[in-house]
This record gives sequence, structure tokens and C-alpha cells, in this order.
Amino acid sequence: MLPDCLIHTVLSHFGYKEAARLTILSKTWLQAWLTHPNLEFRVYGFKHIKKVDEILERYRDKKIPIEKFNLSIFGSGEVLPLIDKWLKIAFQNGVNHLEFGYVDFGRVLYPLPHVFTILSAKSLRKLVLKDCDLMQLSLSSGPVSNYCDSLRELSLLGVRLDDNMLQTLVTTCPMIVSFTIKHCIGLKKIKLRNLQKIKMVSIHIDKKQPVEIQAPTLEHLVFCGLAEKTLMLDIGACQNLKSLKLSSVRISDGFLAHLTSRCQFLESLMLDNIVSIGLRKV
Amino acid sequence: MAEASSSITEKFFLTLKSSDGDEFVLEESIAIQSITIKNMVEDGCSSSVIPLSKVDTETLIKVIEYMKMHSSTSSNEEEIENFDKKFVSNSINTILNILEAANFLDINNLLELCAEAVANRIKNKTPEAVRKIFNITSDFTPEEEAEIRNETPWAFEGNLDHSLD
Repeated sequence: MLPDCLIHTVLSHFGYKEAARLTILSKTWLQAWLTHPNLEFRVYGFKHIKKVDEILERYRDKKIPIEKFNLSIFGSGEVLPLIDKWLKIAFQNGVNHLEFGYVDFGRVLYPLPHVFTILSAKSLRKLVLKDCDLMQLSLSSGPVSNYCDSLRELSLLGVRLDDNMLQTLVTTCPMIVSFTIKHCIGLKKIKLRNLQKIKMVSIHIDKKQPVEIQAPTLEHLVFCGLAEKTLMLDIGACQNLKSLKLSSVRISDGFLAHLTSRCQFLESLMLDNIVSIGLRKV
Repeated sequence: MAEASSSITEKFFLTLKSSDGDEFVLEESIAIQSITIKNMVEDGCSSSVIPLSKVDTETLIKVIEYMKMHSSTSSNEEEIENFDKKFVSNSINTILNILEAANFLDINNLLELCAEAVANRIKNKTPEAVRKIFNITSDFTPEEEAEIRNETPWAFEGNLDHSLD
């Protein structure tokens, strides 16, 4: 008979439906299910809201540890006052991997009021934000006092933020190893520097934005741009790059030659949908 | 090779004793993939034999095979991948024993490998088939079982597999 913690480990390899089916095996499996540390909710309507709230209150009242918390909200006014409450429970119970997404069918972004409170959570190692608006926050209210030393992975997907906010985020999380930024709006330039541990960066842009990455530790870079616009990618300071994947970009003649001369450790170069005038053999 | 390296770093050996009383001598650098053993070494409890009262001989042999393959120096990625594939094809009972041993010894990679293997074996199976595979007797009354099915009817929909392999 497997002990509870091992049933959790096995259940973690299943989706919700399959895991829910296994509750019927025995009381031990049911109990393991009721205390599962990984929670994933997609909240559509009132019925869901009540159910999710019940579950999270049970986790809060019984102090059941939460490791992974994945919350996707599909635009519904009633849920807004509860988002803060739910996130707070996740943090109180020690969440280390948080994914939060908000889909409003009118394409309104969720004004996340407290990203820096989230980032100051000691337990947090991975944070994924989808369709949030970080510009409702006032940076002028004073410098960020807390550094998030525990965060290792940060992903911003469809998030609205400006250059200043990006800088502040990066400064607040100096230990991140992996950074993803996809289809974000409001940025004039994407500039990454002073990330001493960074190994992996993935960038997808929707409009012409210069990108500058100054990271000697960087090993893997994925960049997806716009084929009709000339690539403005400055990675001259990334001498230790091992793999580079470029897709949908227009590159100038000397780009690849320059790249290969600077990045001597480059093992893998993947090019996809590249536009170039007079691209010669390298 | 042993001579060449012994002049630079001395090799230490540990003796692990299974619950059946069999002893296995293993290089310390390999054995400390187990955090439990690593902590014992650091606490100075490893000078004599390390008793592993929760791990039987058959399981310990498998765990040692795994640790030898996964020790940093000896294998390349492809070898390890092939080894892992073959490793998880052991019988479900063996995998469950190794899973418990990996948990006790705190070897995270091995724990995840076995948990995934267990999950794959019971994926898309009927609850009845899973009970047989795990040798679980239900302690629910028929009423309680009906209640669970009623609460989450969607969990029991679809074509489920009755087979035990």
C-alpha cells in the first residue's frame, strides 16, 4: 500500500479527470486526492466559483500545503473580488509554482494590483502571468523593498507593461534562470541585463521592438519576430550562448557571421522563416 | 584508472545493508545521490555499515544499478535514456518497491521516474483494473462508492481499459 505522499507523486502525473477517477479506489486514495498539493482551476461561471471557493477554504482551514496553483479565469464579474482571496490562500499555504491567467471576452486585461506582493513570497520559484495588466500599479509609490530571491522562472504572456515596469521586475527578481516574454503590449524596447543566473530566454514580439540582452551566462535563446521587419537583436554580450532559435525575422547580411564569431560555444542554430537579402553561406 | 585517480582523490566506499541482511559495497560518490545517505555521511554516521531496514535485497540491487548508471562520470545521455526505458519495464510490483525505496532514500530522479511509470501503467484503466494492479481492496460501502460516482460523473466517462497489463 502506497503512503499518501507517494500517491500524491503518482497523481501528479495525471490530469484532473483521471486523478478524480482514482478517488474511488479506496479511502486512502480519496484522502490523498483531497490533500493534493497541485491545484488547477479553470473558472467559467458562478457554479465553478462556489466550488473553487469551497475547495480553497478547505485548504486554508486545514492548512493543507499547496505547491502548484494554476488559476485561469474566464471573464466573469462575480469572480473578481475572490481572485485576491484565492491567491492569498495559495501564498499562505506555501505555493512555489503559480500560474495565473485571465481571459475576458471583451479583451480586457486583468489589472493585477499586487505583483510585487506576489514576488515577495518567499516560497515562489515559478511564476506565469497571462493577460494581466501591470500598468495599474504605481511605481512612483516608492521603491520596491522586497527582492524575490527565490524566483527562478518568470513568464509574461500577453501582459501589458512598459519599459520601466520590465526593468523593475527584472531588478526585483535577480536570481531568475529562465525568462519568457510573449506577445506583451506596451513595451518600446526589451532590455535584459543584470540577471546573473539567467540561462534561458524566450522572446516573441508582435511589433518592431529592439531587443537587447546583456547576459554572459545565457545559454539558450529563442526569438520569434516579424518577417517583414528587420531584426534588432543585440546579443553581443552573450558569449556563452549554446543554442539559438530564430524564427520569422529579417536579418541583415553580416548577422550570422557576426554571431558565430562572437558566440564561440554555439552548438545549435535553428533558423525558421528567415528573410535576408543576399544571405551567404556561413 | 583507479591508480591514476587515487593519487589525486582518495575513493571512499560505503557498505549498505538491505533488510534481508545482504551487504553491498558502493563508492561514496555514487551512493550520495541518495540525500538520505548523503546526510548520514555528513553527520559522520557512515563509518560502519549503513542499515537500510526498509529496502529489501532485490530492490536495493535495482536502486544501486540505477545510481551507478546515473552517477555523473560513467554514462552518456543516450545510455542513460536507454537504461531508464528498460528500467521502467520491470514488473509493477518491483516498480512500486523501488518507488518506496526512492522515497525513503530521497533520490528525486528515481522517484519521478518510477511515479511516471506507475502512472503510465494505470492510465485510462477502469477503477476495478487499477485496484487489481495495486492489490487494493475497496473500503467504501456501495453507497459511498455510488456517491463518489455521482459527484464526479464526468470522471468515469469514456472508453476505459479493463486489461491488467
